[in-house]
Amino acid sequence: MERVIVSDLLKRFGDFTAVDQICFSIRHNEFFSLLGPSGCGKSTTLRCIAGLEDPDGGLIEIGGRRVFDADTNIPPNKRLLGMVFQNYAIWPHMTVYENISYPLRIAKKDSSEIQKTVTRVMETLGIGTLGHRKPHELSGGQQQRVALGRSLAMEPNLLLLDEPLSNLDAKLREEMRVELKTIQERTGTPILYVTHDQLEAMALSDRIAIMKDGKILQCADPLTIYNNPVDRFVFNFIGQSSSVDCEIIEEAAQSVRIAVDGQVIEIPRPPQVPAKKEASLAVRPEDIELLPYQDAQDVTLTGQIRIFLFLGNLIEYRVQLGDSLIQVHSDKSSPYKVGDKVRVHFKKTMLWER
Amino acid sequence: MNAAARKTTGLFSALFDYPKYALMVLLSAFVLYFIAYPLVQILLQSVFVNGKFSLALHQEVFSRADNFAAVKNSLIVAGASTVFATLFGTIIAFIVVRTDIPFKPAVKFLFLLPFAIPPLFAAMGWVQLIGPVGYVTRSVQNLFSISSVPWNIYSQEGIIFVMAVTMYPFVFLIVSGALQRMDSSLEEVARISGSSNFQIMRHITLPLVKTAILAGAVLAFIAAIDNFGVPAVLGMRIRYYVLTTMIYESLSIPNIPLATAMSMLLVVLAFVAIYAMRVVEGEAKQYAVIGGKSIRPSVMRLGPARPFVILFIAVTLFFFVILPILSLFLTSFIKYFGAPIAWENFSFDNYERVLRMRNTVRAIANSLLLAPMAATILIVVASLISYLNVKAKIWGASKLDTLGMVPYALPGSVIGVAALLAWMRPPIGPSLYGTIWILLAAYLMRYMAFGLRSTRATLQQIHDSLEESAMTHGASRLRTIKDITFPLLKPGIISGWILIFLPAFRELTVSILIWSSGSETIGVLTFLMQDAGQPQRAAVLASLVMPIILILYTVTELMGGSKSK
Repeated sequence: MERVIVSDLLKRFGDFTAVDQICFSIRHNEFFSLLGPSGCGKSTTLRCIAGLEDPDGGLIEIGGRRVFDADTNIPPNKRLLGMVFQNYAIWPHMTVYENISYPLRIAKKDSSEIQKTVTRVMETLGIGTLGHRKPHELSGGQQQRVALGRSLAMEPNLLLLDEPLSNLDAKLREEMRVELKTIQERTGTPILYVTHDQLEAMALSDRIAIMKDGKILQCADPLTIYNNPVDRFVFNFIGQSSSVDCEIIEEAAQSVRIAVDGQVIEIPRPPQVPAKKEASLAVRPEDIELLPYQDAQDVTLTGQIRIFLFLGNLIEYRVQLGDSLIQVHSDKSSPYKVGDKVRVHFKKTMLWER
Repeated sequence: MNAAARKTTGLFSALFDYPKYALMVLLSAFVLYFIAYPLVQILLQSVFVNGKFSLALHQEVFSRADNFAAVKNSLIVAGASTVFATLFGTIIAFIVVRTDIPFKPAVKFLFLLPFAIPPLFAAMGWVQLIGPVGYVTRSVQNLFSISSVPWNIYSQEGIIFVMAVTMYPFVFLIVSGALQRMDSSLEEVARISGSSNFQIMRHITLPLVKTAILAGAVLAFIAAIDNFGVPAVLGMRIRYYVLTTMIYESLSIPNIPLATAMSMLLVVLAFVAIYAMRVVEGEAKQYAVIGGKSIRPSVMRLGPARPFVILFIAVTLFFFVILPILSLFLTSFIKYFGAPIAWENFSFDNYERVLRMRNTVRAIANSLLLAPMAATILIVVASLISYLNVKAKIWGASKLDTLGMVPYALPGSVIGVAALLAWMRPPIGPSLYGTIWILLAAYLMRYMAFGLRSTRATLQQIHDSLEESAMTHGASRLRTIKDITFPLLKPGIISGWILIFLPAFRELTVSILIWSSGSETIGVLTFLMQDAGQPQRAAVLASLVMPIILILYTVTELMGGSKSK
């Protein structure tokens, strides 16, 4: 069942089109992310759904109710949403308890019910003892949880999160990711999550919509986007990758022959093959295998190790292949050193137009 | 906006749109009537003589010798006092912010005290100290067995001196602010490269705070040409006039057209000064080093010079800040001016006499009526305008804000004359001339900018997301204002109120031009007493008022500290 439906959403600021007639939907109990670089329109989309911006066209349905279209524009306070802002937006003049209970007080709930709900929410988030603290007495992580608690207290139709973890340090961010996921599974509330951090989006989401210049390029689960990106931009944006110029020599049903740096190799046929001869070979660091120089096989290229980085759980090399440096991830026991010549074997690649 | 027919079904739009626009109409009417109308009036009247466009008035200003002298004197006095004020203000700013003297918060507070005290009171205090029969004068005469001292406070130099001593806080405040916010790493690099403290000061710090120094100097200059009290007390009796006192004189003839022309001249001077500052600021933008990541400015250790510097600070504080205040109190208690300072010559007689006078009670009552009224009206209007401007982001509201800020740049005398011209025969309503209400109208014009500035600043600090999160979680716009915006705005409203009340309460420059019998204020009465040769009565009035001023000033400082005025 679709909890949220967005159709042909359009938002302009003067001459600039921030959101260009996008369509997507969010299912019940789904963690849905809008992912893209700064200025792609993801925050604007979120704000339109929240009712904090007035779109110029399209329609929005939340929980089966039409909240926006040509004749309708239900104000934000009537849409039954929860929202966590990037700076948490916790009211400094209210205690933690007062902050979290605010939506319930607005909804004129009975005070014993309010107390039960707020206590339960605070316990769930691990801030049960902080009820009478003021925001300035809390750490960043705690403030984050208060903001979350406030938005969950009224059991909203949809929880909106606008880059909520970007103000936290790395360790805390990782912890909060897990917590967010847990809370979502426990409450069943669908989440619309906006971020520019692709790692975060992949880790948390059931589905991701990648946005660029106001449009959605691809909308699918993380694995599909990772393995079958629809174009070069999506491929580069998600995960890590490097690319090398090449020339397509021959196409076959299962494989393609290309020339890289004067050497000819055969690679498995990727989902898309560009029409022109001049192409770009793109590959993820974990899909590259390094073999000792002595093993001469004709499906590999020759490269030279230029940079060696020990990352703890794996080793990252930069290998020179022609004019390019490609990024390779190898097992932490990999034996190569800077300056070594190696054979490079691509296990999986993409081909894009150059 | 979406041109498609959009039925506003939500409470948000319906409840807010309608009153929002009605509010804009009311606020616009207020601003247009109390601010735009008088300004337009004075502008028109200065260039239209008998219904024809003419610059005859302005010619007269420059052709008659005494008028022209007034212009010249204004420039000399303001210029010279600004130079001294800037020198002194900059030096103590350096010492207070950048060296290791003790008790910095107290020292800073005391150096800024002249902000709270009307320059009129300072002039009175200095007359009592170094005037012909002043305490210091007599002590020096006795000490050195001379019959007359080599100085005379009733002179151009006297005016320059008292102005410098009253205006330096402008420079001190801005320069110390800039020094505080400066990125200390710039100096640290110089230190590592081998520079001594003094060299760092000269080659690095000073050039970088040049803009701040200039900005402070411009503010001091504007305050100096704007001032009435000091040149009135020290200059009028020797027939030394500046623009403000000349305007006063011409209004008492009455020669309103001349006053109008001279007011415009004052305006031109003020605008030139402001323009100069903008140019300087623009050039200095490329140096934007202030506001770096480093928090604390580096403090210079004074070493063996320390006791001398501390002595210097203590002496200047005592002489320039404390002594004039003390002398006012002293004079209010002493039996007759000129009496030797001994216990038996102190009494409350003066106080009894003054408080029993009808016009004293009336003046105090008037000030206590006008100042709170002006403050309350303005704070309410300013809050509304600022909310519509900053939060609801209505285009018209930002225009109202700009318009309301205009009188801030105008000298007080100009506002006085504008008020006269506007409300002697207003288009709507009765003439306010001769009543107390013309003073209120003038105060509304004068202090609108104060209200706008503090409410605007406070609202800007309340991040949009605080309101948005309330609205997302169920609160209507009005509810949000009540629960979220207003509680957070309250401290700003309170300090904004005090910031209007304080100057309005002790105001002189505007009030002296438009008062009439029965509508005297404290400032006016104090001046009249001093001018009539009754320094003790004047001192009593000043001494009664000063504790109130000082307490309120301290409260504001404790609440928010002095942001740059």
